Amino acid sequence: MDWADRLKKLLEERLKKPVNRRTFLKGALATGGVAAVAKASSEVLHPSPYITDRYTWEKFFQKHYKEMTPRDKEKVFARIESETKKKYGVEVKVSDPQPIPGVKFVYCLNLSACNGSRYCVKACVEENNLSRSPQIQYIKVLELERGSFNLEKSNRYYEGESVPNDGKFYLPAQCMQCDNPPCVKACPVQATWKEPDGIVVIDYDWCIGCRYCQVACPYEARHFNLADPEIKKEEINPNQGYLSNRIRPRGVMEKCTFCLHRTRKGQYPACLEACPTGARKFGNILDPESEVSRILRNKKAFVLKEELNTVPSFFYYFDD
Amino acid sequence: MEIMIKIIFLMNLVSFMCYAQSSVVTHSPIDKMQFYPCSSCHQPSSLSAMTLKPRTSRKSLGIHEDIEFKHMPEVMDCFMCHGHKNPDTLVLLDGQTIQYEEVPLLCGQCHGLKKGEWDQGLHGRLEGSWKNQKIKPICTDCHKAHMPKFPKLKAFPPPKVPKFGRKKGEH
Repeated sequence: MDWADRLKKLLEERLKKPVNRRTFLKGALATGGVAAVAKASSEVLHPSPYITDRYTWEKFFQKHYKEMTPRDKEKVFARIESETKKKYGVEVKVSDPQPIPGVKFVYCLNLSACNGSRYCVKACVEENNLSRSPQIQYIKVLELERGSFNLEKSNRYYEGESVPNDGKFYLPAQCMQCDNPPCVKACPVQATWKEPDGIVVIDYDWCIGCRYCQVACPYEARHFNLADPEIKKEEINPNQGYLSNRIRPRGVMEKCTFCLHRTRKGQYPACLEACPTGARKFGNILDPESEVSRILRNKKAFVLKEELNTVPSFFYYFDD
Repeated sequence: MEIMIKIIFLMNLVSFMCYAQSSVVTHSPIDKMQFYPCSSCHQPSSLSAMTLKPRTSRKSLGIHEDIEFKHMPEVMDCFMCHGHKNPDTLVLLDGQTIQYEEVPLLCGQCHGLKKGEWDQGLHGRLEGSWKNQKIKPICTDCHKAHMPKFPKLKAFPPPKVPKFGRKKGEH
């Protein structure tokens, strides 16, 4: 006797009358509906850990970064630290260094010196807790034919047993920290903005993941977290900044922030420190004695896609 | 005339003080060399026998056979740069003796433009802090002294090609 016969018999006993097809189906639908409602209500009352971790009371009512008081920030940072501890098993310290008055960061890159060894890419991935899988990299090193400058013909997937490859030169591209940033204008919820020291930042907890900014950016500098980032426990950088390199949640945008958790404390960005050839220069453009000021005075520096009027803070130059 | 000399002296003093206040320090190779100073083996008297023979007979280098010299091919004499009288020093073309940490002066004799850029911070790596104390590596920190051309490196692996993407350029 299968379950349908059994159910039919049970109903007949209860109702004391024979069951035809119509009454049977009615009963079956009602039972199914009750079961579905019960299942749904149990999910509301006892939701899965995925839901509970993602949507907590504190997270839902967390304010925008600019509206947070220092006390709010303390609470939020403690929450992020405990969540990271729970999820990745690592003790981290979330800090929030503020922009230094009278400082505007500028990056200069010597294309004659860059040898395309991707040391900067590796340092950036390690410093900024970038997802290894799915892979996210802020810096793209483009390989170009010597004597040409058509970026559409560049190759970013080149192999290099001994770089520089013959007849090639290399152009690393990352976020240009534009002074007229199209990504900021595109954001419908103001989750991204430009800081006084020139760095375009994202409040990862305010971002709704609509990806308008990714489309708006002409430099492909913004990246979307399609999945929870996968990073090995021992590779997580515990020195984290709220607006920069803390481990991003799923479904938000992220981008290069000139390592603001380092640079606002006086250090150089990780990509610069890793560069073996000294092609990268970083400093305060408002200081006339800084290296970047001297480069912009003495070298013929240029920016990428100048015609778009994005006014980048990232300059390229060639030696002589 | 005396007033002029005094003024010039004062200006020099002021400029020196300004220079001393700048927070740029250079690396010193002395730390690396203090364990094996040249003078621990080379006595000034024995140096005359050390003149580098034409490059077909490199065995004359003795213990320094491992030094690969790939720079100016016409240079056959170690003492064009190394001190003859005091092996712990370097000499310039005009005979002036300098210490090892002043090696940019030596390189700048031929590479004047690069030396000028290095002086301004346009050439070379940046170390230390952009805000507080900048550390300026000197020539021999990055370039090998006897083979200064920057070596070719092995690049880190490329990013993965997107599954449904096209392997093409960016922008």
